[in-house]
Amino acid sequence: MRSRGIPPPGQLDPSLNEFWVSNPWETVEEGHNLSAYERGRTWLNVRGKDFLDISYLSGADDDGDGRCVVAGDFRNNGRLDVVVRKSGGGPLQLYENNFPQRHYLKVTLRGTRSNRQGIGARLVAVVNGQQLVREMYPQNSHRSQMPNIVHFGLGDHDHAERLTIRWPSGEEQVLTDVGGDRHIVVEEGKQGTAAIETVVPGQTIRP
Amino acid sequence: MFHSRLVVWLLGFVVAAGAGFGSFYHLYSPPGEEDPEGEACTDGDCRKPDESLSLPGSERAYLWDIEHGGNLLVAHGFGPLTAALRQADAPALLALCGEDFRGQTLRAPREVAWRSDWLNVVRQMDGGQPPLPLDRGQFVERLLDYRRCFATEPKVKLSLMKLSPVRRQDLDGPWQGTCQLRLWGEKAPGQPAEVIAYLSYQVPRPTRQRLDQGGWLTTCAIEQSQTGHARSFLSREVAAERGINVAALHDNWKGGPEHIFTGGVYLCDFDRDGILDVLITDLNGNFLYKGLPDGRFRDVTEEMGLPRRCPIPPDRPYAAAFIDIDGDGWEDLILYRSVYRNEGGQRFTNVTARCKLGLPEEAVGFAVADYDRDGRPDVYVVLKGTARWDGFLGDKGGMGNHLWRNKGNWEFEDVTEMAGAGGGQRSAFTAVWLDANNDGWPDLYVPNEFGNGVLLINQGNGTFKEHSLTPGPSDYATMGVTAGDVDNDGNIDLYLANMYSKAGKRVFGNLRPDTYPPGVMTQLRTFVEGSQLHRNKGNLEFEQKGKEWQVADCGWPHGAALIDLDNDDWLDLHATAGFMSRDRTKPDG
Repeated sequence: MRSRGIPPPGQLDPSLNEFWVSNPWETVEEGHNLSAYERGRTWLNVRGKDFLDISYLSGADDDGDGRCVVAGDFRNNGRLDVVVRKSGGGPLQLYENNFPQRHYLKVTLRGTRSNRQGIGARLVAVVNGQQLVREMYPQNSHRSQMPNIVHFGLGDHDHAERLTIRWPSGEEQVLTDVGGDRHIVVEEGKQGTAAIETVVPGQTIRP
Repeated sequence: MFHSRLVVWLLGFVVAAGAGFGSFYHLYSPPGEEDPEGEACTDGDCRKPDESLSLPGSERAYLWDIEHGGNLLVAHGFGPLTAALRQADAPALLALCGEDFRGQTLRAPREVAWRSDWLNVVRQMDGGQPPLPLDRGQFVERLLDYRRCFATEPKVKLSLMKLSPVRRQDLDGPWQGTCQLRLWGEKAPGQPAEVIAYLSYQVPRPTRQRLDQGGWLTTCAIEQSQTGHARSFLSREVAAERGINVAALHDNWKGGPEHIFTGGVYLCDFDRDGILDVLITDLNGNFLYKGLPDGRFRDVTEEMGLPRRCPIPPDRPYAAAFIDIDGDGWEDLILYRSVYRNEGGQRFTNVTARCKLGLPEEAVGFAVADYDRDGRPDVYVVLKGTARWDGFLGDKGGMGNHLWRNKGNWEFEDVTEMAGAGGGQRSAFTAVWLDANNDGWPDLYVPNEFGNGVLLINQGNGTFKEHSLTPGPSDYATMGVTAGDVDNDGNIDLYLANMYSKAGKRVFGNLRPDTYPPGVMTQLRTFVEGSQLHRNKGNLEFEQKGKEWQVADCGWPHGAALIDLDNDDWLDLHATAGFMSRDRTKPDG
């Protein structure tokens, strides 16, 4: 799509910094702004009914040219820090999550009949009567990968009444009264508390 | 499908028009004598330009006049207004309102609110009641109420959205438009506060002289307003503090050659010590950071046997993915065109030669899942296409993706054709696995940079069947996808990061409704609609909630993540934005 020298349809006003390119791709080639200084956005889910724009209040609304985003609990405090990559305006940002501390549960899977990481498993937690459905997939939203860890926010409740794992092998594993505020490994094929190990950061998780 | 090059240019315009001042635009006449390229089709799919899709010169001039008027309104109308509001200058604000000014605001608004001791946000919208009229003084008081949310002078911005003459083609008559008013600053030291309001208004034809006279705001209605404040900023940027060598990564804003894309970030606890690690790929190299107990990071790239640099072509930041290919529990790594075995978290060894897996240079993303549930993870390789002139209007921009089935023993086979999993020839950056119909089999959503994506439904027998999220055109310029259950109804929803353009919407809105055939107009509209949240209702039915939940307008987004930031068990959303920023003093394209 090369430029074809099409003239502007009107007078350019330099005091307004008006500019003209006959070909949209020239905008980038000729050093103009294109969708510039857009702010990264954060939307808070209001109980599944709507979202509220808290971009500025989040402190993570940098206006660089953002590309991919992932999140992980790097400090093992149950709070997801957000990592953003940018092509301009600071190539990588790690946003330390300073939302208030609330209960959580992180789950890693150890498949025995299913694939080792339990990719494709569906996890259903029941927390104060509410069902939460999450899936184990290391999602790539754009040039990225999330870890093979399922994260449940538990709000004001320090445990999940029930945690059901539907493994890719077809097995359905039900665990009851699972204490929160930790990272657990659940092994396929085992029952009850024998199925659960608590991760101790710094100690190797048995593969 | 329409293949006119003219339409491509028009689409290219609305695609290119950013969200800034909209100080320029370009529309194209049909290729004719001016177009030396008119005959140069080499792809065997040549069509003569369709004359019926041309835009007359008078139409182009009309759209130009509106954009120019918008620039004047922003510079000489909005500018003084924001200054006066920033300074809480009531007389100056009053002077901008016309003699017979009529204002209005919401009566008994509907609210969406979050009230807690650490965050207070209230959004007020039309509750269905007739609006409350405001005279000039009352309207200015409302604006000053916003200003009063701040203990010190906030930043204020008024962004132009829609704009057009009230009577089409009557440029000298009154004009009407919408805009977004934002104020941001502090409610008290260290406590951020923000106001976001949407206004509609009428003004006389914007000219320098008329605006400088003052009294140019004829009517103004507050359509929606949101006020919010927090105990402190809810996050803090700490990358360098935590030991990540940010300075080593490529940054377009630091001078030197510019690149549209940069590398990625891949999270995995590769050494299984319970602390998350980070792989960063970049034009300047690879950086594998081991996570440390205190939240800091240590560069272990070469120690772990990974190359600091991959032999990548310029402008082609490559893809990576962690995937436990041999199922020993230690996640292996695909890095550009090489495969590395994870040796017990101690080292990555290059096993590319023994690993039969097609990794082309053009791969931009990998999506890992065990699609056939045989106990071995498989990989979907996404290839980004190049922009073809007829690719804007359909699904032919890509090179075709590939599904590689893990056979064990480091062998993969390409099952794309057999499975029907190519995703057409959509140009995509990624693909996302999810169980869309709750049948236990992984399905795959393949987005499309140049049109509708497709949901590939796993039939459970090694094949996939294509399914559309919507009956007609919906998403456009989908750069990223994330999946999760946002309403906790047990069905996995999809959020698509699509391009959004205020200027594009404005200009599109000023086209005559019959400018193009209905199919084209619908498709054009999707180009600037923005991101979309496809809420999964079950039974493979989706409803589009992006506009209603107001998560559509995000500049030119690339990535998105559905993550529970506040641990209240509802998934929140973060999206990146921005394409190419060069100069803060210059307007946006």
